[in-house]
Amino acid sequence: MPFFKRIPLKILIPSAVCVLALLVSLFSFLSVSADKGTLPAQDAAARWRGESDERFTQVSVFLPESAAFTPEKVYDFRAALEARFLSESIEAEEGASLYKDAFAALCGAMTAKGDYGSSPVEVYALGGDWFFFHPLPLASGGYIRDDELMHDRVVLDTVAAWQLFGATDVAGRTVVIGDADYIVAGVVEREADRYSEKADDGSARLYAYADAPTGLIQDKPVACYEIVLPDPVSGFGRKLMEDVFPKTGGELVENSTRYDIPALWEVLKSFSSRTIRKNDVTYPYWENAARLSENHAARLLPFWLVPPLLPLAFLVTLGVVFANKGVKKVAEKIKRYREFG
Amino acid sequence: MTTEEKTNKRGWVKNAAIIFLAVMLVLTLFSNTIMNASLPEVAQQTVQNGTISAKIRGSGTLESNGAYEVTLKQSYKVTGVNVRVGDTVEVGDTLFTLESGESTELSSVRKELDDARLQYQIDLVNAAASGDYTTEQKNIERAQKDLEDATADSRELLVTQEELNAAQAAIDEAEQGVENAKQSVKDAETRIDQAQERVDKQQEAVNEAKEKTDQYAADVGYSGGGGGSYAGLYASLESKQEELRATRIAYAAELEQLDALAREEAAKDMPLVTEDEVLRYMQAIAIRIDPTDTALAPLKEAYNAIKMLEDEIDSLNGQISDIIDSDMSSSNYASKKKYDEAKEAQKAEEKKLKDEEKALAREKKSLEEAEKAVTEAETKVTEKKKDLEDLKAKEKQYKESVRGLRDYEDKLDAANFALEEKIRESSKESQIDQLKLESQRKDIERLQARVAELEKEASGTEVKAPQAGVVTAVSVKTGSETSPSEALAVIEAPDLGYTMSFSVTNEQARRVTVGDEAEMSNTWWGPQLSATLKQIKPDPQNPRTNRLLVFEVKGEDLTAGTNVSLSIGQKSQNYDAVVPNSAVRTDNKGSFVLVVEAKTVPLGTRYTARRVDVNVLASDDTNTAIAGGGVSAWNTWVITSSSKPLEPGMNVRLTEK
Repeated sequence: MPFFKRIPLKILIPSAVCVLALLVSLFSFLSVSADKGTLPAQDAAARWRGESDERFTQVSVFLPESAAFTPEKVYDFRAALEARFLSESIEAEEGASLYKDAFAALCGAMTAKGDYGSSPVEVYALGGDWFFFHPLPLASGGYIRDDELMHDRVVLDTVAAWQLFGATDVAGRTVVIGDADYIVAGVVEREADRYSEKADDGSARLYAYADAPTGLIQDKPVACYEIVLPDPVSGFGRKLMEDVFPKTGGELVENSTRYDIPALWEVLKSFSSRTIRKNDVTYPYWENAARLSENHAARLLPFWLVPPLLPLAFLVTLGVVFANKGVKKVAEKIKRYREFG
Repeated sequence: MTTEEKTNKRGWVKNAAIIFLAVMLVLTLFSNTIMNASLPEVAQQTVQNGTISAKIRGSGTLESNGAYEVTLKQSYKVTGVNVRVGDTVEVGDTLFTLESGESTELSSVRKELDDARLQYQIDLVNAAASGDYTTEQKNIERAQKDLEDATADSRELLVTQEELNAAQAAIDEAEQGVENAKQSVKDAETRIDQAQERVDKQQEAVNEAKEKTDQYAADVGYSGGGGGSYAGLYASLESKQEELRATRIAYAAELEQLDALAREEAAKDMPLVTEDEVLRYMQAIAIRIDPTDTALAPLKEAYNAIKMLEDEIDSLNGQISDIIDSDMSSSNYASKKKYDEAKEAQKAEEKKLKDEEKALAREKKSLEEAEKAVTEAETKVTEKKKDLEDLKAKEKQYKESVRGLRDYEDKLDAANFALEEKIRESSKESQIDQLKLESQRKDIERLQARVAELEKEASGTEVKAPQAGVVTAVSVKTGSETSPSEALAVIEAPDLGYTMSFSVTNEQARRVTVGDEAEMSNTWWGPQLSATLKQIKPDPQNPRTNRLLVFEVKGEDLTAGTNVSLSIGQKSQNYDAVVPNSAVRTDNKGSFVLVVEAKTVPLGTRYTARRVDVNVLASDDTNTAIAGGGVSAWNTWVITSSSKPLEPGMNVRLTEK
């Protein structure tokens, strides 16, 4: 390549290193962005914002069982939150809502019985619009919603549907847990991204209402509360949650900003100590997947931010060198002018 | 640069351009497919007009409107359970039998009373030690002696539960004996019918054989010509045979009488089948019984008559045979042979008939014996029942005597109280001691009242059904102790119907009204079951948030405790635009649906998701009625699910069907 042959090595090698560094940075940036978009459960604020110009943020609170945070306390919290919105003069448009929330209690394994057979299923007792935060693709039927008249319906994942019915198109069929009958509202696919797959233990899942009339799962405390709320200025939503949400020894995570540079930097700083747990919070599978992707993004942060410094430094060096050369030439010209007139 | 080099350079550029253009062409041709592969795949459904019917479901346990809990006010030991779950009982049927005697509560209070009396007497004796109360003390001694005598008398009348049980067991055993004997009678009657049938059949066989014989006799000419003497002989033979049959019956009757006599004399029973055996039997009896006994004369006469008749019959048969033989010629030899065979066959059939008649006589005799056994067993039952009645009468006497003891105890108490009064009047005792005695006396009076009360409400030894119905629960078994707080059994009257209830939220309760008909979710009940909402009342467990829906349930084959699932709700309403629930989405601006819009492009059709804001009018388990945004039935396709998160304006690809 004649062009490159004409460039001196002392310029060519640093230039190549700089291009490589920029490529690494670009790849890291794209990878972090991909991590951010991989998990729909972390992107509820964008869905809630829709085509609006207003800003929203998503916050999750993970609660230990010892907090005994019952669904009734969620209702109390909603009242307190709405009062706070009122005091902050934040109002919703007519027919709309300022926020959306959901909560889940982890009930553990229970034996469910379908037409095809019996199988242990991991039961998640839900409240609010949980499937808004976790828009799992529907294989059949529909989701369950908090505003439904009857709360005796459940959603199965495909594994549970296969084990209990031998099929996935089973909306309307009946699942028996203990002595209680539950009607299948729909069947959802499982998350297929690499982080969710790693966090997945493969067990069949059943999603039911926390206040199902049979009372089978009423006593379980809430393990995860999620909310999307207005965030007119950065940090407002998180601050509001910290102020209003009962102090119950849980962990609060702002999902909307967890892939931003400051948050990832915090993860990186505490990377070695992240495994140390000083509470008895049990993360649900979706948070485990989010933390995996967060770790991945945090590991990429140096490769994203540091490499662009190399071309910058190279350019500065070149500038200094050329500037020095220019100054010398000007000085010589002045000197000659003085000597020879 | 030479000309050749320049030509090579141009060729390279040309090749590169061709390759580039070819790649671009391929990409253009497959651009739609390539783009589609990256688009979210969506399922769509057309907006329809239809109904929305919100249903409230719930399940509960049926409770009988006519359930009666059989309870006892005091504790007794159960000695018998006469009913099982599912039995139908009438008013007054005995459900349980209890151990006779006092209840646990009564025994306990009585013991307390006895202890109180004893302590009172001790204190009274101590108090009377320092004074002269001879009259009162003598009265006490007299009352004590009367009480002891009455107690001793009463003890003699005591009937234990074991004795009553044994008497009842004896009755049961005797009754079983009656049943067995009746069964034997039935069996004997059946056997007689069968034997009679066999006799009749055999008689027919004899008649047929006789007809055949007569026919062959006619063929060989025995009935005419030289048969004039034969016909007379034959008629004489029939007459003798008839006489012989009558004589045999008379003989059998005599033999039965003799047999009865013989059984009294000796346990040995000889089967009397042949005449020789009868003769030997007679001789054996004659040795044991006085030979001059006139009882044997008719039998001997009958036997001799039989012998004589048999000889006469043999003689007649011989004469007939002689005639037949003399008349026999070579021309009708075959017919005569047939006649002989028929005659032999007739004899064989007659012998069989004789055997069957004997068997019938034996069966009749066994029937008489079985009937006699029934009478004896019934007599035994009557006797055993009388024994039980006597025991019960004795027990009643005992109870009366025990009640009589209360009078003696009262007299003793009165004597003691009189002494206490005397002591108080003499004022020799300290006031504290007087108060103590007075307190003890009051205790005794209180315990006496309690004993009287318990005696009044005491149960008998049988627990009767208070109402007719079906027994749905039995909670005690033989040997267990009843408790006043526990129901022994539950009797339901199915005619009075059942109720069931379940809790719903206030919001759900607002959707229904009293009188609404509910549907059965347990489809296996079928149409025989109906449920009507009878009452809406606050749920005692969550009165602020929940209400109880109470249903009147009627139907066949219902029992209390059955779990029933019902579904009740608003009447269906029609709406112009109905979509699946999964098509309705929400964000901070409200509810919306994503409508599929198709746009034709040069290499196919491009589909775009367009947001349409809607108002939710109503929803049920599966569908939502919407309005607004120009959504109309059959013209609009809405997205119900997607393989990836969707945003308005995104291109999508449709699910391949």
